[in-house]
Amino acid sequence: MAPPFPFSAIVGQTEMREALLMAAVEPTLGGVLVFGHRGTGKSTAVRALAGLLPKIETLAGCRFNCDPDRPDAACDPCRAKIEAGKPARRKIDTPVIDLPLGASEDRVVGALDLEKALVSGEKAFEPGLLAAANRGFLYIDEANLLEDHLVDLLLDVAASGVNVVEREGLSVRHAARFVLVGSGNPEEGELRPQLLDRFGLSVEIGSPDTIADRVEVIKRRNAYDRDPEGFCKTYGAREGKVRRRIARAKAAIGRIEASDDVLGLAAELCLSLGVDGLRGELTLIRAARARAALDDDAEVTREHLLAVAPSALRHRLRRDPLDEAGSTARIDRAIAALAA
Amino acid sequence: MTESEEAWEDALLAIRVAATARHRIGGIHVRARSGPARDAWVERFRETLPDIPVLRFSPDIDEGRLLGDLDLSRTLAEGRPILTEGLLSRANGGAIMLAMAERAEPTLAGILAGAMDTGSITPATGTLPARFLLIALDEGADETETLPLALDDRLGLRVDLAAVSWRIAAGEAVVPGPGAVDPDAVAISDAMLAALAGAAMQAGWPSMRPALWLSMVARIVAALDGRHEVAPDHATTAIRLVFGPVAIAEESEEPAESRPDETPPDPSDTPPPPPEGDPSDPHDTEDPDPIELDSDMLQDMMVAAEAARTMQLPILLPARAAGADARGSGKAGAKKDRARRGRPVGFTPTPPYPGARPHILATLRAAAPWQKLRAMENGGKPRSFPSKPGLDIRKSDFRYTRLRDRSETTVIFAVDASGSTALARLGEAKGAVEMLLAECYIRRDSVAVIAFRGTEADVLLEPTRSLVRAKRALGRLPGGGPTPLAGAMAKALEIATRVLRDGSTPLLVMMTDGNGNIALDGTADRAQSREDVAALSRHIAVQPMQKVMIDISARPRESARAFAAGLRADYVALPRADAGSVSRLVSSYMGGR
Repeated sequence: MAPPFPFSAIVGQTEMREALLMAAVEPTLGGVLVFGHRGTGKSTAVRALAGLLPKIETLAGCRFNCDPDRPDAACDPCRAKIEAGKPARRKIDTPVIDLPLGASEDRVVGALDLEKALVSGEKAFEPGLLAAANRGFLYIDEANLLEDHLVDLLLDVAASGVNVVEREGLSVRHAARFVLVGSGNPEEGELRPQLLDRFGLSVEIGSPDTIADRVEVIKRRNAYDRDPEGFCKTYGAREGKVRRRIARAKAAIGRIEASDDVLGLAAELCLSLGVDGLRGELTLIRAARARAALDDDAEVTREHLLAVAPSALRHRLRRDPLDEAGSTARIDRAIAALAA
Repeated sequence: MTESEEAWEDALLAIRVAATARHRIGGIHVRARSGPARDAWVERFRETLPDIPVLRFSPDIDEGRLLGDLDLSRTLAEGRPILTEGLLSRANGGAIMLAMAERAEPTLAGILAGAMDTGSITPATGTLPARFLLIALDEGADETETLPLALDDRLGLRVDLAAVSWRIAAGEAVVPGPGAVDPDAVAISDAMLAALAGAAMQAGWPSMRPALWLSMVARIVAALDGRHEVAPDHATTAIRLVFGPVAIAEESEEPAESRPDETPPDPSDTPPPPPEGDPSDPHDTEDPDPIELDSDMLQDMMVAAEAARTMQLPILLPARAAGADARGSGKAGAKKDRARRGRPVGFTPTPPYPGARPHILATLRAAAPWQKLRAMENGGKPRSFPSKPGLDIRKSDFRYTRLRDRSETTVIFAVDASGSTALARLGEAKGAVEMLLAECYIRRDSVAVIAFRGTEADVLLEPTRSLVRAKRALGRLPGGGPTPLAGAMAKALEIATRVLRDGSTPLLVMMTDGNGNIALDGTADRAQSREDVAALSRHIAVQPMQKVMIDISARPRESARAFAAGLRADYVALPRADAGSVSRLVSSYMGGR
């Protein structure tokens, strides 16, 4: 298969790209929801991200991507191997799993292994997409078109980090920690508000609005279509830079502190916007920290916080059908009011 | 050349472009009713690409067949799971004809779109290549009935056979094969790219894809023309092929006139000249002169694009932007999963309603993998497959079809915005619509708004569940002037018919005082208006839907009551209609069904 379109060759869409990087650096952020029209590069960006993520270490032969250094979260065979000492480790690419719209529940959560049941009469569990996405990304294109019961299930697993399967006589629990990335077009039906705020960040994107940018998009796409390998090679250096930036930020994020001043600002902002619950504040701080890590800064500043505020809060505002202005404008107003 | 001939030439050219680009162009959106013209077109398509697999299916195909599924009989016979190959991977390297594409559900669109994006499908057994050309045969009756936006956006070419008479389609025209043309060898100047990007932008689509299609199609057209650089007429042809044949009228002469005289207009006026070595072609040299793209040409292209925009807006945009996605899309909503009728949406181990009959195949499928295990449980050796007849089926294996009743309601508001209604009322109606929409977008209900004033009624909002669009459309609600009541009723009837056709239930809410003074044809003829209203009332009265008339005049009159009776609508006088009470009233109708 041809390599995916390089991340660094995407023209514009800075907010979406930064949001994806933040989610990659800080997996507890709760994922990203990308809202925008069709053909604006949503899927391209997510699929391109796969090539940039650092490799993860897992146990040889594990189908749940268990972490050898965390036996408590590992599946039974892996835990046994770890306890026996010196398990065979191997490095794999961070999984970026595409959830196809038509995927059945069996495929998503896992089901009885038909092959084993039929051939050897063994009752075994066939892991689904959630297992495959453990410690990686799960991408749902057109999240707003997904069957409701699947959306509920996914969000529940994403929040708890555990996939519990109780069906067909099977009883399985396995770790399923993944970053959920959803995309959709708001004009084709909206997500329920309860689901919206489970996502950490949300970005709204449009297509480039200048002719020059659009021409650049066409040129790059044409060049890519003509020779995918060659095109990716020309972007090799830039891809490497992004890859190193992610790795550096991932290493640094644990050391980054947020001062009380910044925490106060986050609280004030959420209060003035009437954001329900603490999730908004938490996400805001985490996102600001990820942002600081990506910017190579040692601590979170007010600028980091304000820069991520629209992405972190936009989808958490109460809907006011009579307010003509969009959520982004309301956040901008609140920021301006705080600055004054 | 007549319009019919031009449309046919374009349709044939689209085949050649698709034959050259294959899956890279996505596919062709063919708008045509089933008929000889379409049959002829499909025939030409197959003649042009005789060697590729062409699979044809209709949108009610299930996902298992698309992506690959367990082959039950062979699995049971051989005692190991056998998967059938999905249609999408069987179509690899070929084409898929999606018949009745306008009926495609969002899920099908999503699966196809995903396969087209990645060039592969991922069934349980691993990734398989699935590169295909999608030919969407769209039989939509009107502009709002068309294929889902997710697919439309991914199809690079557009063919409209409505204008093509069968006499022309039945002609002897043979489509020359793609030949050995190499569109990658065709250069395209930055100025030309900018013009194409501008054209795509002016056509009003937010997507980047049309611009990409334009540049690809322009290069292919140039390659088929035997050139090494995209000339303005190739670009205008590309605009026609990508955005549809609507803009033909403006463009057919212009490129010839505005071209520098070094290129004489093709005497036969045939858009697809032979690919290579046309002796009359002055460009047929080793090194053709670089084509200068002066500002005039750029201007022409912009004009053409503008023409495409203005001509298409009323025709294509609502179809792409409104009807297509408002219909049957969106997920939020309490479904009636225990429905006794409707569309099958999957299987459930619990009976959806008492006395439900199990689905045999699904039950067998659920039981199949357990046979060996159960045989062992029942003591002794696993019985060999399949020598001993009889399956061990237990209660937990039973599967029932889950049906989903398309029970959504579409509320059609017809709001009197004329001078006889105070302007404030309009604000209230607007508020009520927004409140309803905000309240119930969880309930799978849609809202449409018609406003009538002046000489005609406007559909401000096609049926939608989107708050975003509602806000935008309602922002434009003007007021004042005479009352074209009949026109509003005609529009309401039109939407209601469409809603019924899509399987949901319309609820008509007329907010007016019932006094029209403009006839259907837009003239200020009171008597004619009364006649039109009476005729339309009879039509609306027999529609299987609920109707409410909210009398918003300050002093409710008998005539309004009579109007409601003619419609067989419930009559509610709300002289001080405010957004809250209207919304509550309408909600009670929607909940009370």
